[in-house]
Amino acid sequence: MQLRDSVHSERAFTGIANANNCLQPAKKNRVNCKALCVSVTVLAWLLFAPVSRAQSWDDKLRWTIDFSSRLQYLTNTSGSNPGQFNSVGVDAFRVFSSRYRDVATVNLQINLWCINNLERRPGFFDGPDDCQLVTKASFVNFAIRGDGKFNLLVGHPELPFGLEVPVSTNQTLRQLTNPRDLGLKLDWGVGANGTIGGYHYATTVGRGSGVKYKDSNNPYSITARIGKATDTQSYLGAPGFGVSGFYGDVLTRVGSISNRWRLGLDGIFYRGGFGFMGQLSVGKTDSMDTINGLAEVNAVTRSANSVGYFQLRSFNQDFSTGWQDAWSAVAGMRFTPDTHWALSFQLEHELSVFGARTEQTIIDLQLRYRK
Amino acid sequence: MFSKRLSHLIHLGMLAVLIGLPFKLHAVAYCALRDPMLAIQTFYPGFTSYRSYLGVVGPDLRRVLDETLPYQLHFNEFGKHTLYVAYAGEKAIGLVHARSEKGDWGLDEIVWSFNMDLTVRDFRFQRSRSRWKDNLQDEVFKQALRGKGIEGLLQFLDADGSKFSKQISGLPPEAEKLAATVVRSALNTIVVTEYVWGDRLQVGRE
Repeated sequence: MQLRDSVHSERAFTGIANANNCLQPAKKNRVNCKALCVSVTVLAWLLFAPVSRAQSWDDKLRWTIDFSSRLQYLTNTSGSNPGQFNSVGVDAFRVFSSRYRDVATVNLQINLWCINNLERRPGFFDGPDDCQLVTKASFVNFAIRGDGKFNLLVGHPELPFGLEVPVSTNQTLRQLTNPRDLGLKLDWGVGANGTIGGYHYATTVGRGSGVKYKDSNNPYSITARIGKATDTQSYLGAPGFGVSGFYGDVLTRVGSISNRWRLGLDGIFYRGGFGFMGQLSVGKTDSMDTINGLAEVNAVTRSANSVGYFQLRSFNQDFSTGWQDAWSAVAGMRFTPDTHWALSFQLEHELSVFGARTEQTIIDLQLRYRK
Repeated sequence: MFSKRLSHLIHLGMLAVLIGLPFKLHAVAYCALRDPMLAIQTFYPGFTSYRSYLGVVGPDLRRVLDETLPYQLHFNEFGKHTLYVAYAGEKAIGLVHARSEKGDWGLDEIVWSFNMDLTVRDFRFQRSRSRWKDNLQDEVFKQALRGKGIEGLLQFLDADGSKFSKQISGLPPEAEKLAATVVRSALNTIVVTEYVWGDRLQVGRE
């Protein structure tokens, strides 16, 4: 007994040609841009490859266009306010199947990010006014066994550490601690993952350079997590728990290497309209003891179209001069009138910071549309 | 990467597109069950592989739902949805499909397991904040639903499909609202599955 084979529609995808723009102005990044463009083109071909015979009802492809525009206001700055962050991108997902089984899934997230007067920005931007083509979570996951117990992943995944596994922070104001804790949120590399006995495991070995592929000073990252399987990733995250580990030489934004290891514990649970989640990690950053954590309480309306949250984030490190802490309190809300639109507001207040920096209050407002 | 002037032009263009977007469009890529392994491994311990089938749920389905079911359904999940088929070797042994239903606190996500003839085999809550969900995941309630198709499931509801009308041992009255939601979810899933993937299932049954 078998089900009828799928047949697909022929598609043309021209938007990915924009990737070639990265080759033009910056010669220093030419090799990396070529690697990026080749990777993105291969992934895009896998997603949108033309196949024989047209049938729109099973082309195995889901994709959305993702627009967002953000204003960011800093209360304590000599620069001009507010900063802008605009993004347009494609988020695509395609499954490849043989007669009796799925053999691979492809995930592609390509965005054009443009900033204007943005002081708080990712390290790969050349300055406060810049545009960059960014590859977010983009990978191929090969189903080696067919029963989901062992898959091999190649590409640019989110690192499987802590709450980033069950919680989706893709293009949202609400963020978690991995970028600052590990020094990375995504990385180029390979990995293995699967679900066995109600538990999901994932591990990656990566380049250690984050969003952009760079090999100077030979960075690398090794990440692993095992936790309760959830079948999905979402804004609030499915309830469960997990333990994670990380080791690596991480490439910093100034080009130096930061050696880090972490052990992490995370969990999410709900009671009525309230959700509670937390993450704790311990380890070393360049031989200095480090303890970092996040605690969040969130609440959802009965219709679930509005979510409010309050986070406490804590970073603690034993410098040569002694322990220092950097605490911040974050309050935010998101209104989603339908499945396309999301209006978000967030206020982050730094209670303490490392070194001689000045505490800052950051106010963000974002409008997002996904079609 | 780009010159400042070009950067500003890109900003303006992106803002113009965002502001100019119509408020109601369809075909959003939405899926409550993107990695189905926990569900499939739970429902079909002896399975050897699974295959996903994508289907387009369009506005024409609303008419079919209205004609088949006794209650008004505010169905707004148009777009692409995935049906998973579990195999034991080359034999299709069952179906897995997830649906989202309006609950007391947001959406309740229910993952359904159906036999190949679209009768109920099992279900579980993937996401629900209801305090009564454990009562419904009890084996007594599940056993009452097992093997039921559209006609059998309608017997659990009153004439207009709004209330749960059966006596189930151990099911507290307070849980009956959620029980009715679960039964309606099963009915909706059967109608949607038959309409979108019916021709393929017919081949699988032969």
